[in-house]
Amino acid sequence: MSDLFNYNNMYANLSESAYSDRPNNFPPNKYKNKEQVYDFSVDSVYRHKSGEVSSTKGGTHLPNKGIVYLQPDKTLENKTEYYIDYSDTDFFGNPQAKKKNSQKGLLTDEKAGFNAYFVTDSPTLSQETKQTYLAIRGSDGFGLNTLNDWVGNDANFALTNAYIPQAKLANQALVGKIKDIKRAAPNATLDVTGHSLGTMVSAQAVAKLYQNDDKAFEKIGKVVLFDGPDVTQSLKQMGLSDKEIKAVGEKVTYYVNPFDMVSMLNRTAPYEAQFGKVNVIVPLNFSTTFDGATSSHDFGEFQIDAHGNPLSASETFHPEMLTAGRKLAKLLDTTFSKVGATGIKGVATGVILAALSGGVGALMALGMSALEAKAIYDDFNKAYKGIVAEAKQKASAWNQTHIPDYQNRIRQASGGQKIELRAELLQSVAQDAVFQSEAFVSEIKTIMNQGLETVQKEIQEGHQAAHNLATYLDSWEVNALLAEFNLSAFWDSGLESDTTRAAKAYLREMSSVSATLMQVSQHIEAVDSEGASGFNQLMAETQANFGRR
Amino acid sequence: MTTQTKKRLGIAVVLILIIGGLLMVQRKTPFDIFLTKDYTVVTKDEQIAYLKQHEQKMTDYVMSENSKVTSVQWDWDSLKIEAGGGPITSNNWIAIEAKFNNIKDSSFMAQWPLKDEKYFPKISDIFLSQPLRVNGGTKIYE
Repeated sequence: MSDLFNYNNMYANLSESAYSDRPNNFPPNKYKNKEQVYDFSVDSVYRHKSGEVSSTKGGTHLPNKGIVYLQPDKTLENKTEYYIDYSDTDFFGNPQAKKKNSQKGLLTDEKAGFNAYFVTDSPTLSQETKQTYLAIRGSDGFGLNTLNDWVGNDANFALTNAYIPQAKLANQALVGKIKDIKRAAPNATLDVTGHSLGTMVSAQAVAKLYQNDDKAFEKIGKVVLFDGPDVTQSLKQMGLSDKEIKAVGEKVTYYVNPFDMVSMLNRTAPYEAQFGKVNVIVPLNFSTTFDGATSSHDFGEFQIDAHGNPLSASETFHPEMLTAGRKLAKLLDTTFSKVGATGIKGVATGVILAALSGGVGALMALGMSALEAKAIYDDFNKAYKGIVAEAKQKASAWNQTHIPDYQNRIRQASGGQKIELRAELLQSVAQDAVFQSEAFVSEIKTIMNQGLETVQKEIQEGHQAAHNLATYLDSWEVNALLAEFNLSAFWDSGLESDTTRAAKAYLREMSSVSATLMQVSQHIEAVDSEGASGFNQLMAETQANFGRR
Repeated sequence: MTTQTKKRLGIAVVLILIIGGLLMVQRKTPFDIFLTKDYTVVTKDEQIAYLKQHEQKMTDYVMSENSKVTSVQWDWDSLKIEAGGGPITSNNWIAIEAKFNNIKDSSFMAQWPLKDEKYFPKISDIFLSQPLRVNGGTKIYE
């Protein structure tokens, strides 16, 4: 897992805070009867429940200086349900009565897996309120260990082309909150944000609002969504025309990771033809959705600048990211067709996604044969890793070609453009530094392996030659001759491990420098105005924090 | 005792053991509790008792985080054992709320990672997951 590196984008902050194991999280305060204040302008350190520690830099240029208030949900109540458990009988064979607690309210339906948080820029809704937000949580623990839940509980994880249950609840939440805003805070708009499954819930709920009540829809400001699939098909199924989809899309912005399976789901159409404005980010790492600490589905992959813009690809800046995203979308599409061809029907796309992450065994759990599962999984896995690896190569090539250009472009550019170009340049140089040191380390390893092989071969040949002489010598004489002729005499394994260690240390050092450069690129404006002292301070801070994330 | 009686008694004992065993396996006797209750799971009360033993260490930690804190009033009943996380991972944790400096409307939350429900937390893993707030949560404590 990886948290946001900085709090510069309020939407990303709120989407992240909707999860329970994240810094500045909302869930524990859901039950409070007064509004709870959060300050995103200050740095934070968070110890995850896995023990990992992360640090996030306070945000700059945030609305209301980063202060927001999580509003209490007065409709929230504990519901106790009684049910008969026929699988559990007593001594006389009678089924047992059992009880189950769950939370339910306008913004929460625990059973349906719906969790939303209403946040404002003033303590209570009033004439003073300018901005309100609804942050909608994605699914918890999107991974193999929860696969059984997914298969058993489609409702929570369905990513199919339908109006999903949580979106209906989110729509009711929007209707309720807009009513409150109109009554108590006439100057405020409502922005909606979410991550992962939360993006589908948000998009569908907002579209439904447009369909049912365009007056209420006017109160919606921006809808900013992270790492989620395209929902065009589902909106069509909900009865929206192409024109209506476009009208709703005017308010919607996506930031998607080209290497993330969830982000690239349903994205085979050109980006411009998809719902909302789609930005393909230049992620921090070249990794897949299930690459643990650097998962492409997580917040830490966004490189957000001082004004809150996540670094994004375009035809003129790292276009290989656009291509990689298209390829992954196509691969997912082909793989789903293959799963369908095995005769498996009625399984939600989300479940297939999870199964793909779980490998052959998980695919078999969906009901296909071992042979089919292995063929589908192996093809998918190879192609997926191939897409990421190819993008990495192309990114490196792009850096080589374009870094020299930047100096000219910066010289010719005007103020604002200059800053943007410098940020791009720094980011590219930083990325390139890591590429080059990775290449260097792997080169050293290859040279050492080749050396070891040559020495081993020489030794083997020597032994062979000696044994060929054995016809003239006694065997003990041969062995005595060979006693000193072994690997340890000719290969200094200490030196080998020293070299490997030195190479690794070099890579670490370069990664640290690279992280610093990336930080600088994100805060280039501040660094620029403070001159060398700002740069040195940031450099020192980043190096001190490096490795803690 | 005749050989006949001994044989009968032997058979009776074996039968009782078999039937008793079957009943136990079926878990339909008043002794079920020994088979169904998992005594390795730590209950909420046991967790509270454990944390109470380490109250001083917990309080010291909070005071080390903010020098203006002179006392902590732990709300033992608020202890929660939960699982979740998102979006990629899911973990277990234990959390407890508290007030400080005897301020009526103050609050914060401390938490620990928990391997699973069979374990107690490692006290030194304590972490403030919600900052010190006052006025019922509407203001951050300086």
